[in-house]
Amino acid sequence: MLFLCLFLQMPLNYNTNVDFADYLMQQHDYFRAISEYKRVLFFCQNDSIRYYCMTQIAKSYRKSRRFDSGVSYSNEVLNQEQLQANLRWQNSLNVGLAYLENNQPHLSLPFLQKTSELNPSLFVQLSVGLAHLRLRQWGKASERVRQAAFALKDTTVKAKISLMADSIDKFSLYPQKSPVAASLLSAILPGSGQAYSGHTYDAIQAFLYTFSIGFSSFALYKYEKKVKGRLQLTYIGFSITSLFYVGNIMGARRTAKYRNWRLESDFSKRIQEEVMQYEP
Amino acid sequence: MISIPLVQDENPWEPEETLFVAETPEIKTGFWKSLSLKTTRWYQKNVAQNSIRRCPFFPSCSHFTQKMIEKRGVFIGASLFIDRHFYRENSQIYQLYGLIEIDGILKLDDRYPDID
Repeated sequence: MLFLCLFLQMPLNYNTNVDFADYLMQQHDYFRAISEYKRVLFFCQNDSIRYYCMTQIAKSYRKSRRFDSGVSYSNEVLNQEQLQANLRWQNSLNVGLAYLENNQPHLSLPFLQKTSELNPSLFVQLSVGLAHLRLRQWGKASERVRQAAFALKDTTVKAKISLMADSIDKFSLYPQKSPVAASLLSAILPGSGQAYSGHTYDAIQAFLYTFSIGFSSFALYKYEKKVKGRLQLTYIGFSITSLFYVGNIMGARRTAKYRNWRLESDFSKRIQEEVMQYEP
Repeated sequence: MISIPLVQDENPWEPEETLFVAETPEIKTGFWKSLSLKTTRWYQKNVAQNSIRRCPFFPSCSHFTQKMIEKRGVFIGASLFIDRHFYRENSQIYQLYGLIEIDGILKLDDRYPDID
């Protein structure tokens, strides 16, 4: 009788452990949740419970920013032939989000698009839009976000999502600074390229350093020509001047690129934070 | 008697299985390139270790210079070092760069994804 009770209790333990692990996930205690899911994986032979646990482990790893481990668990589940549709889109979404959060949007897009075919929910559509945004495909990003808003019934959320799409459209029209123009400006007047990109103090420093070192080299050249009659230190002086001059031009180019990248990065981070609010 | 530490291990995670390891390409180093790289390594070991002054950026100017010399050559790498060290360190940097925590110290984030 005791043996029968113990035998009957065994499957119930798995559900209890899984419930406890789910509770830990809700509390954002991902490390312990992973331990509990792995405990179930070790003892349980039921495929559906095992795949569910592996899905949750992958999600916990992703939430803990351990993307490689999350992707490997999700891929192992996705490689199973007989898999529930529910688990398939969850793992596909997990892989897509892991790549996206790991700054690999070109790898995330195929997974997120596949997920949207299986489950065209709001969050999935927004994730696809976010992947397009990270790939600088502004038109596709705003189109996808508008499609997600169109299908909504809740007017408050619909308005928020529509505003998101409008902000993407506005950002795509924001003028970018040309690195070529910045380089040319700095070649003509040292520091002007940095000022063109908004780095005013950098411009002042570039101008002062380049001008003072160039002027010193020229004064040295005049001195050596007049007094010594032969040029020795002048060559060193002009080499150093050329380094500072080229540094000013390269710096202007890099500043313009940085400015463009920083604006895009800050904008996409803000959109990502808004999108992640809708994660189930 | 077994002593139990009061402070838990800050990093209890198991080592992550790295799936994607980029192959580091072989860098052909001429005389001037290897000399400049050795100079920066000498500076990092002997001068920077004993200095109070710290570069506010991450990566630091010496690491940035090494990377640029390996990628772009000695002249461009040196000119980019001059831009980084002489032109960029001013009071406006806290408005222009984001912050990142490295080993408990806040540094200015100057990492670009493949932009250089």
